[in-house]
Amino acid sequence: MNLQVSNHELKVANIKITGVSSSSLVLIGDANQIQLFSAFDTPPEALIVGPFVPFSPRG
Amino acid sequence: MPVRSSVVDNIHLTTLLFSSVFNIGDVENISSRANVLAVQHTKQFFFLDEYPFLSFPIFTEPLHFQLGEPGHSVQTFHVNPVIHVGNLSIIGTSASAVIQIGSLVNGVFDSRVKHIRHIENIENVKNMETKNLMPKDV
Repeated sequence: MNLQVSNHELKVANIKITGVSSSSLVLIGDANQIQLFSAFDTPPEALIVGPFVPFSPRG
Repeated sequence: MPVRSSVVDNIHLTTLLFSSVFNIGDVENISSRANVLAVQHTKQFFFLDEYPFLSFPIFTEPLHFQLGEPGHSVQTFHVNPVIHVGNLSIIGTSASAVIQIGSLVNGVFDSRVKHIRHIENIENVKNMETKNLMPKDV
């Protein structure tokens, strides 16, 4: 595949961001290669019910 | 790789937390990683070796993406070699996030977050259900 790109004027007045979390990227510029990986585990799957902390917790 | 210049007139950043980076200038490589284990107990108790990262597969799981496929040819012409932004306003960044003004050759960002709620008895869960804090099928 042969791809030709012509970049003309790029002008942005305002960028308003509330939050940038866990290994995220805000980029004003060019990039050759970006790789993003994210894994998230949250309740109810990660809920433990009981009086004891397990010795070998689940993944 | 020919790159463009980035021009930002105003930057307003309020909070940079947990190894976040704010960078002005070109960068060859960024390798950012965040491992987060958030544990909440009903009662206060703490151990020195509580919940080692290695006991959760989520933190050791290999990255699933592949490097760029070979055989592609991309030619970029910068007719106007400037990226212009008037105002950049960010309230907060956290956990190995990066704000970059300038070009980047290669960036690898890896985030793994594991939440644990340790609830003492099932009644607590039922109370949460009635307050619509939890799905009904728990």
